[in-house]
Amino acid sequence: MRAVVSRLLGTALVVLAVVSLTFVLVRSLPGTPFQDGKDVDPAVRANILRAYDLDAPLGEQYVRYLGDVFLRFDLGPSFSYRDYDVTEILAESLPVSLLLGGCAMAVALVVGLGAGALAARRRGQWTDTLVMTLASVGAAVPNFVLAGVLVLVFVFGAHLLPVAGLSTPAHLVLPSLALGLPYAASIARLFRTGLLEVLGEDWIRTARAKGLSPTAVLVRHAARPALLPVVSFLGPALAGVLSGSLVIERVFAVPGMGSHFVESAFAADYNLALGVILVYTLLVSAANLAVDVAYGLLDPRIGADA
Amino acid sequence: MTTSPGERQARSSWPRRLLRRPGTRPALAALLTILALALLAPVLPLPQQGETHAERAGRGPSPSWQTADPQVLRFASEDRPTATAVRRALFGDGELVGLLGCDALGRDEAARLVWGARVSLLVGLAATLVSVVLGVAWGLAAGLLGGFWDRLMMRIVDALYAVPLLFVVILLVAVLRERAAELRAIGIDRTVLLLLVIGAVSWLTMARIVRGQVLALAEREFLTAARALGVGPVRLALRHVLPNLMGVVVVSLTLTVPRVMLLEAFLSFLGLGVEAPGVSWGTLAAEGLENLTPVSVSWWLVVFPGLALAITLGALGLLGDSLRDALDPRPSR
Repeated sequence: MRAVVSRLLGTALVVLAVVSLTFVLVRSLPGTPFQDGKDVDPAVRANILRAYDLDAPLGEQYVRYLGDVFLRFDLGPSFSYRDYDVTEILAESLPVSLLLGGCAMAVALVVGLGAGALAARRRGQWTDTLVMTLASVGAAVPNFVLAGVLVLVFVFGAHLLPVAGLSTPAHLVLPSLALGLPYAASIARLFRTGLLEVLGEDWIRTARAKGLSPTAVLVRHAARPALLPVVSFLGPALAGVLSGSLVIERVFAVPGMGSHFVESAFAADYNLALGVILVYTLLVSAANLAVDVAYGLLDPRIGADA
Repeated sequence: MTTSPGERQARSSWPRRLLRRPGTRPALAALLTILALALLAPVLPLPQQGETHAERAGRGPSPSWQTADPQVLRFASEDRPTATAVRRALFGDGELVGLLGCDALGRDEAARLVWGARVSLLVGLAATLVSVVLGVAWGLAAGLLGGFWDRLMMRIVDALYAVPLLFVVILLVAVLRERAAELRAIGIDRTVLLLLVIGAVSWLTMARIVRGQVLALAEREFLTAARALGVGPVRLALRHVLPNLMGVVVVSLTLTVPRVMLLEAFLSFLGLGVEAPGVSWGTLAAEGLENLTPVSVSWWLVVFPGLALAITLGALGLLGDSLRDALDPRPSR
């Protein structure tokens, strides 16, 4: 329990630091956010600054900003989507990103665990070597390269799948694959190593001696301890999926937070950029916490209050 | 290998163990080839990477030996007289065109890949160096200072792990671009900025590893002996502790380079990396994807940059894993 509280505190501090840093960065830039690089009449400029509270002393702005963000969950107006608040934009795009991220993680787990188990079962045979080589390659390939190859094969080669947007479930297939397969590769390697370590243990031999089929042995006995390194990896994997979605959402024109973030960086919409960073930081922290709890539950050696 | 535990303890040197591991030799060969191609780029008989030819637009891989444009060669020999002279001596005035196809503007893909390799590798190595310096300094300080400072510094590292650093990098690069004029005044152009920013976010793992190693070393007697002899803290850190960190630093370095190169590729892919007319593998991959239309499926523009990235990153990762296992003082399993 103490560890959880200390982690939450650490996260809160990081969030505060990120918010403050971006505040400083944004305010230190020349001009106002709404000038679009043009010179404006001084009266107009003064009006803009006043309307968005940008003319107050920096300390006052900071306090007001913190109050808005943490007390009212108001992240301010978007500088590029002029009639929208950042919170509105995030509310629209977060579910999309979560959906894509969730599918990608599902792909990573299903393919990774399956491949890892297969390789462990057929250790030393050509299946094992093939799977492990593919995994090594897959873990090294950048996801946009994989995306390009997938598009070439499934869209232009075989005309099987759509490439852009998110209007049908079929639209989810390619982005999820591109985003998730590199992590499937790492999960496969981790699971295989974990299984091979476990399968040599005495208690596995006992289970087999009791007459359990190899599959049952694998699933009911060996999987649980072998899953531990995979579970530990899920935290970084989720962070990686969220980061990777930046590029994948752009490639496949998926209207999630990632594509908004890149656009906001280019359009100097720092409120939106900050909002996205905040949400992602919170998501990753929550995921890491969940992973630690899950690890504690899975490994009976760790005490009840992890 | 059927060696008894006793034999295994009397180990061969680590380079030999490294080379014996499966996959290391192909990985090393691939990396050295790519490095050689990148270094020798000015000498290779290829078109210049920015050279556009309308008649070659959209050509697939179809190698042919043609005479180089004399105007272009003249510019090249002004930029790099020695290299161009060597190229002329070896290959005459001809060049290999279309080995890996051409893009929509008729620029030779093989040439762009080779020149892009220089940028990708340079940024990768330089940014890794930045992250090594930062990480070693941080880890060394934390490990040696100990106590409250150690805990604080490591807590900061832990906290920073939660922040999605790719986002911060993108934001930093976008923000700092607005300040491009001031930065250029102190000699920082976009490429230097890029590698500084990338290095600044990649030092966390190195710091952790270095600190762990410092703590392990602190138990050993040679440090106590040095302190008893009155060696001051700075000299202790630099002359006594630092040399013993080289092993873990090298391994961590080999594993950092692919991550850094991946980050650069991502940034270049998004358009925040190397600026035109320079190319890196990331920008090439981006252009390749952009140029995929139902009318012209220029697969070579996507596949070859992808292969370059995959091979380099994969080989580096393999090498890093093998290096780590080979340097591991524990007996092999």
